[in-house]
Amino acid sequence: MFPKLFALLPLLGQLRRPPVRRVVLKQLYFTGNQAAWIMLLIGVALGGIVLLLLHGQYGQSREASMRLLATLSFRDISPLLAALVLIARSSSAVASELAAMRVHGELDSLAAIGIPVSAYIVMPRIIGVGVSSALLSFYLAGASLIGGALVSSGWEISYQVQRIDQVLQFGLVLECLGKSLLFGLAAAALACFSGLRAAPYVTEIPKASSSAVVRGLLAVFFIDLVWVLLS
Amino acid sequence: MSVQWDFAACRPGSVYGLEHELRMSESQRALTALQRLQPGKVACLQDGGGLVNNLRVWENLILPAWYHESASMSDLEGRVAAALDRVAADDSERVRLMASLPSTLSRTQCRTLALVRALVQAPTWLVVEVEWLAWLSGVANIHCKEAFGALARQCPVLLLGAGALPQAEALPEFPTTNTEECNAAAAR
Repeated sequence: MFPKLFALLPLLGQLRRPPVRRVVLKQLYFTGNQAAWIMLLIGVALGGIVLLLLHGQYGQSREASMRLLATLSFRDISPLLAALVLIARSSSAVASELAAMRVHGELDSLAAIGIPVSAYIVMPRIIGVGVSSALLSFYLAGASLIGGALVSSGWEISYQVQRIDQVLQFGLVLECLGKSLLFGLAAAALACFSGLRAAPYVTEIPKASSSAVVRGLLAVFFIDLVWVLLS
Repeated sequence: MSVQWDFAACRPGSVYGLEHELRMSESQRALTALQRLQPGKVACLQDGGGLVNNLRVWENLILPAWYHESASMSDLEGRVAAALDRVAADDSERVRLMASLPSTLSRTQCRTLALVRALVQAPTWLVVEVEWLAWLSGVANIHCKEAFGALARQCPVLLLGAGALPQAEALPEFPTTNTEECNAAAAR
């Protein structure tokens, strides 16, 4: 599996071809753009919940609560939560799409006209989902700060916005982006793997879809565990 | 020891055959060898059309030429319009047809569109399934027959599937079994 993933690296040169770039953009639209509003809403709710718990139940000051919220959200919660939403929405969709293409012989048809499946189907989806994951995680984390600031200060939110540099460091943003990019790449690679490994029967399409979700969840949680152990 | 075909010895206007369906490994091997020799210049006419269901018809028609040649959109538009003219596609239906998904089309439409895609691709080799050729020889309209005839005169045709050999010559093979020599000869 992982040697195959590394074998995809030379395929990045295929991005010079316009149809491959188009597939990447389509994937960014379906995974990144269409899920943005869901992430923003979840983020605002998440920020409100965490701040209420820290300030109301654990007795932290508002400033300390905001600092904790920023650290928790950017470092741990947002990449994980964004990956879970992404796996539920996109991993299953990618796996069932590829399994259906396999069932209908479309992958063979593409190969027959000289278009490699790895370059035109797999690589653009992995890049599209990976980049979308990083963006969605950033939206989610940003929205959680807004939610926390709203709960903390109400209509005086501008006070919290002015103090944003004191609760959020550039390193946290980079960690959030890097971690969620890794989650997205792993989830997409496993979704493609599940879809392409499906037997060419219609009954295999839902199996591929559920297998992609299970594999994606396992991968994301174990990568997160390794990340926490190493950091 | 597997057979090595001498594709360079094949002549335009001739029909060569393999008694294996497109999905079988022997045909896949022949097709892969051809694609390696002539990247992007091998058109494939499959029984079901061979179109990708999650792309619109327009995207399907331009895909091989767009992928292999990175041709401009205006060039591709011109080539698609010319190809549709050659198969006498209904003018009033063209816009709707281009925007539709292949799964909504009839088998005849998909087979015709496979020919249109081949015309857009301007191939140097044609790979044709026996079933597609049977459709062309039977109920396909005269414009499709003429367009295919013109294309088949310009490049060699490889016919695939059961019953291919009675209608075609066997693919010429290299006398030697040394793979490196075969590849060198094919490259020449």
